[in-house]
Amino acid sequence: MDKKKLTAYLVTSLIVSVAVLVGCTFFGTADITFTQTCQILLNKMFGLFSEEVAALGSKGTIVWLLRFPRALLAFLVGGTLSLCGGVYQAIFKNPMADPYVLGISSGAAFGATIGMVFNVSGSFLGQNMTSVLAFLFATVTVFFVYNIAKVGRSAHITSLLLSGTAVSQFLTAIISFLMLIYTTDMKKIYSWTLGSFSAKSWSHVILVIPYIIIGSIIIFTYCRDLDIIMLGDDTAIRYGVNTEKTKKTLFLVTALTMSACVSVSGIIGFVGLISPHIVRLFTGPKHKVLLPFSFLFGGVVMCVCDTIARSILGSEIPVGIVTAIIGAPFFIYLLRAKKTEVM
Amino acid sequence: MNQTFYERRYYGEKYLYSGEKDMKKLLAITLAVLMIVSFAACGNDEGGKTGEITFTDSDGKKITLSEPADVIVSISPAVTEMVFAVGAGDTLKAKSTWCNYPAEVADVEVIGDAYTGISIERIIELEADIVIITGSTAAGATEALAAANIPVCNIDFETVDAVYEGITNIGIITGKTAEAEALNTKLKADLKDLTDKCAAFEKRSLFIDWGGLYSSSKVDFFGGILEYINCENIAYDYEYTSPQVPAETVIEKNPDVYIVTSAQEYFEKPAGFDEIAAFKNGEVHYIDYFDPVCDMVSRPGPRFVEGLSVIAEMVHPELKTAE
Repeated sequence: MDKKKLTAYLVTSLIVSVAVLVGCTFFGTADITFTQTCQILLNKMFGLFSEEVAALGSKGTIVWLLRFPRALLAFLVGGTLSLCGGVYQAIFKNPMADPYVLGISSGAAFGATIGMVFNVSGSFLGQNMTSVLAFLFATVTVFFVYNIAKVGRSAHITSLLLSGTAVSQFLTAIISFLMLIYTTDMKKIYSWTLGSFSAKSWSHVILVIPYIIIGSIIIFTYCRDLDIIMLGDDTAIRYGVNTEKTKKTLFLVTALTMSACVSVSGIIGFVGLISPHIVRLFTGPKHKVLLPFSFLFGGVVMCVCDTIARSILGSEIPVGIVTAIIGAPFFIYLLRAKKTEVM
Repeated sequence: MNQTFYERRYYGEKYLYSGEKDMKKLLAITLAVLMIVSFAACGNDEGGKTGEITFTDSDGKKITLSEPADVIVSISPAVTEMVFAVGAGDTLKAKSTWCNYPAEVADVEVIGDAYTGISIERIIELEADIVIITGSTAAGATEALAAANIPVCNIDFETVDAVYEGITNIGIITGKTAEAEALNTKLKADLKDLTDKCAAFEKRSLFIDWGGLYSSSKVDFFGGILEYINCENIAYDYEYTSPQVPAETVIEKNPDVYIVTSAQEYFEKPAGFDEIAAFKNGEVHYIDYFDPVCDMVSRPGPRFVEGLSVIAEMVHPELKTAE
């Protein structure tokens, strides 16, 4: 991919990202015009239009405390899921790999279920215990899965995939069982497992942002290693890549970053699986280009899906339903239209 | 004579085929005759026995019992309450996991619930006269029970009128029609009394938060009964049950009163809710999920007026002082 095309892609993506963030802040069930939305955003960010915004009353709150942070959070979570999806597809050399292959989703869901069912109260760093437990269990699950698959000093990829699946199935079964026993919490647990950004605000954005920034920076430094790992572990070792250390570091980083995201948003499927594939159709497989664009693309997709989820019915729909309903046909269309190999 | 192998096979098959057809015809005629005879037999029975009861359930299904039921299985907490309220508690031999009222029900055997499924074997073993459900129950149970000749009656209630109708039906099933009518008359009088009292005050808006901003719409029993206490339910307009209302909609509609069905320490206040009138004026009420009031108002049973009057006092604080 030549420099010119790359710059053009990058500029377009950034403009689209900002436009989508502002556009998604404008949509919603409450009646607020586009001008009012822009005025409120400019007022809160740069102190402009103070008089106009003061006259808007609770609309300012809706835009600045609910819609915008929610759109931003959706963007960040969507981006992170896609980024980690891209990393896992490279490490596992498997187009079916998504951010949840190592059992993060079921671990998080299990933690959240425990929190909801047993009404664990209290808070930690401003988060309720449901989120904290989701984070803890997600991280622990990844370590557990890794250690099951580990033979000697290394964990084989097939073993990792299989132990991830086994642990996921096991935890999912327990979750289902708990749901049936504690039926009063059934709806809460079920909608948590489908993911939602309902009533999320700045505190959640602030919680995930350090993980996402640090995580992304570390992941980006491994782009070249990922390119080489794609050629096969033996080749990678011959090129001087310490595959096992790379994998371990990336598992640790992605596990922590994803756990943070999943603990605030619940499990949102499909975005992390398809975004890297769609981006790869345009940028090619080089991770230095693929991963940043995956982040932006995933963010835009999630932001749009969440806006649909919160405005189409007038009540909230779990965003995981929207990502799959819209994402799957779009992906199939692209697969057919481009008629190229995905990986 | 000069038939080829294929022709022979063809005719042979044809012959065999037509023979089969005759057999089928004969079978069909026999069955038809049998059915007519058995229908006629049924017809003769109708109304012949004394004490036979007939009623129509919420699905429009006509159910006939030879006599008022002695062994009732209830998979619905509201139905369980009704059975006790008409004074037929001793006929209830099995209940669902969720049936927790009245206190006497604690001794009744648990048979499962509508989500996890019910023990059909046990129901047959109990020789149940009737199984009463609300809405639907775990897959296949109705068919399996029908096969065992145990009628399944659906008593569904989305509105207040449906509750009265349900009580009437429970009265018929248990043979306590007079008690059922007395209960209905009392409920109607109490509700009218409450409605009249509330009408004296200004109409106020309410948001009920069952957790995570899930609320009750007009399709939900609770969402609908609020209009009896001169109260506007801000989630009323949704066409489906338990809508999860966006936080911005709650802020925009600005309810006067906010009821949370959890203890205060578990309630996570969404950002920006301080601007809502209810939060500004301290009209946020917490009812613990396990508080009987939650059951009273969400469960369309004989205690709904009692529960509604608790809600009415939260919506119209003047009610308390008026008394």
